[in-house]
Amino acid sequence: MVRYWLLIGMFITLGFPWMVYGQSDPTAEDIIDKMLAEGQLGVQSGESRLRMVIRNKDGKVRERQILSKSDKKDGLRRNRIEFLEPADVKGSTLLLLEQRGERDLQYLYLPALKKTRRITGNAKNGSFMGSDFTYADMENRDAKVGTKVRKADETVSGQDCYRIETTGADADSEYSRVDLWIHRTLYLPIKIEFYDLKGGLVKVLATNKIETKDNKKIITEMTLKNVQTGSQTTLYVDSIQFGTTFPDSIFDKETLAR
Amino acid sequence: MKLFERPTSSGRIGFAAGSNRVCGWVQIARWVAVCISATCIVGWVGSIILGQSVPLIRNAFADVDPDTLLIVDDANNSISGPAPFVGSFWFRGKLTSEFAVDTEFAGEPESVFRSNQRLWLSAEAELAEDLKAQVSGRLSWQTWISQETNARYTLYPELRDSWLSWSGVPWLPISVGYQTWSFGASDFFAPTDQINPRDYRDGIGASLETTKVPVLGVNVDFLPLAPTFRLSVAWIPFFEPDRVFLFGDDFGLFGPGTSPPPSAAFSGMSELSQRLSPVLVEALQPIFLGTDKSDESPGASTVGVKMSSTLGDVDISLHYLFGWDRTPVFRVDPALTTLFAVMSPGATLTPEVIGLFTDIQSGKLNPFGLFSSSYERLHLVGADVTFPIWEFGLRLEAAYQPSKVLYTREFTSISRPTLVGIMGIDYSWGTTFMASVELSYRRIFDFPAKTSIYLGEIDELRLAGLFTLRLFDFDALEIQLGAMAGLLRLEVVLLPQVAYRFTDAHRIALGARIFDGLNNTLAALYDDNDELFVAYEWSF
Repeated sequence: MVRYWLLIGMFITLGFPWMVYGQSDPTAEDIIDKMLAEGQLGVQSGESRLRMVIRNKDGKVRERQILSKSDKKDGLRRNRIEFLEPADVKGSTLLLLEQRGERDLQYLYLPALKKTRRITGNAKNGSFMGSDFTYADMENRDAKVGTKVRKADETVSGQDCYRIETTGADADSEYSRVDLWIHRTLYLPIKIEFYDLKGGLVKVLATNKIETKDNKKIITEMTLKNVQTGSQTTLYVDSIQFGTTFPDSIFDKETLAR
Repeated sequence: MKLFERPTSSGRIGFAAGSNRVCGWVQIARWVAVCISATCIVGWVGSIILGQSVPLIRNAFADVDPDTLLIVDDANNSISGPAPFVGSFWFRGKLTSEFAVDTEFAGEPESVFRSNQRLWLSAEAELAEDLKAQVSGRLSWQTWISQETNARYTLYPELRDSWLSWSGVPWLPISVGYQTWSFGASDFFAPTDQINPRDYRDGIGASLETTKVPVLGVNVDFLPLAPTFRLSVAWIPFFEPDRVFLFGDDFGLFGPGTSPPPSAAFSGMSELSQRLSPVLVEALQPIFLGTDKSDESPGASTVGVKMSSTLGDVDISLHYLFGWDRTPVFRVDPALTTLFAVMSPGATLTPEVIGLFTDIQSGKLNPFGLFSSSYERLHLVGADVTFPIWEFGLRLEAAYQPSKVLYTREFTSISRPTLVGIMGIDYSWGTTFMASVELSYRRIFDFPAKTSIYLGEIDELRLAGLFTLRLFDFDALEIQLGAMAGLLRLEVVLLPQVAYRFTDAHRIALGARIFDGLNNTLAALYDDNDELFVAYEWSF
């Protein structure tokens, strides 16, 4: 099935993934392929600063600030996500390395322990720094796996969208089905619904704001709402720089401490 | 009250004070009140200076309906992007306050209350795209109060991780300065992780953040020599020993609460700490810790090499360390044994002892020459593997030392080949529950028959774990149990803790440190040091 985590992951890890793509009445496979390809065309690397605002069901808020650096090497995505605020998590750094045919490698450096830990197994379903995102949500997986079915087009938030239903997730996935509403001309995800293994709606990811940067349309604000717990996490792109090149050392687990 | 400057065992400049006054529970309560008040005042003033109100839970923002809110802005470049390079500067700090009360009053000189106040400050700057710097330090104020008479404190500044990192050659990043290295995959036993010295003065229940001491060195990473292969080299020019208390503290090797003394020869050590003024004990300690260090020449430096690779889903590392065994080799003159034996309860002055004292008084015998110690070279090879298996993360590590310094129960030093194997398993259920368990097996080879190891056995099988349960929104409540158990010889260390994080910045914890074990085990050494503690942490 479509690795819908990519949609979240690419936003957090850079925030640049999708731009205008013109096509008439494509298939579900085409739509997904094009949407994913946008992240691979033109924007190979970049740096962004994000704000993550987490709100619980009672309305209490926590805020995190993130510096994200991302590029591609040999066609595989590399991301380094460093927490800048608040002070108690400052310096915590997540490294994601896409693997061909394998799940992403994830390493988390914790400055308090001066140690880099590999995130494996069930730990990937843990909350990403207290947000509604999980570490698994950060992954950029193979978009060709699973079953994609195109449903009747719909209008969401006043935008004409393709609707794609995806099923057949991996055995280790926490979702059984994901529905996507993708902008018909921008090929940007406007809304995504995530269903748990029992078929119940668990999360809704909605695009709140799309802006133009260097003639590219990018999502600059999105909200992931957990409808079961009532909490939600909103991500804001405060700044973004395309085309930045990084040395390999940025994406090496041995150098996360320095 | 006396106040004097002294070099501590770590080489830091510290200040110690002692006073003789009646000290009971009222006195302890006073100290607790003073410490808590001081901490609150510092925290309050600091929060005002830094412009933060202490209760940082903020009101909710307006509800966002994901289905209806969508703004499409067609104006180009409406997002501010950073310049090609914008230098950045970060400052952060942390104040930790801990107050601990001993629950077992094994002896009058034993500390029944101790407090630990630490201020961590760190500044980090990106000076250029390929140049980064960090300076960090720590100020510690520690207080001990014994049940009988004495209150002591130390105040010392300490340089922590402070380095300059340069990646001008993209495949050869270099960092220079006070650094912390991490070798091996083990979290609890860490047999391969021996580049940095440890600070054992807070006892074996101290946090990992406190225990590892940064040292001056150079780190070079060669990456990648092959697509997934990297080589890291650490060079530490100067030797830095572990930091321990011999006596004068409950967690010292010969502290008033430790039991039993390792041998008759040194039974007087703990007597010594009970009979002398704490100020004098503080002053004496560096003499006994004055282990001969290696000279500070390049030939005496430490080199660590780590080769690591990722093959599919498996992380593999190989390590080699050429450094110094931080367990000193002791050489004890029989005369010193005789002198110490006099301090044991019920001992009498024999003509032999009187003769020794006469020789010392006349200058024929140098008392400081009766005891000497030195460090030996260390060779260590290690390997570790990390990979996922089903829902678990598995960590395997092995370390071999051809010559490791150990102590016999007669307190003589002996060096023997030692092999340690670790198997660790990690499991998480979201962030609600996390468990990390390690099984450690240590084997000492060629150990002399009918000889016993001090605080250990030839074969050791130990289990350690950390279990964390997080509840409420933002994982505010954290219930944690750290544990270590000897499986071949009964010994148990339990470190339960309940913590509540009011905000991202403020956290309070209540916990205990519990030690129990058979004779000649590490846990038994601190059997009388069970304590309850309350800790507060403010991050800014």
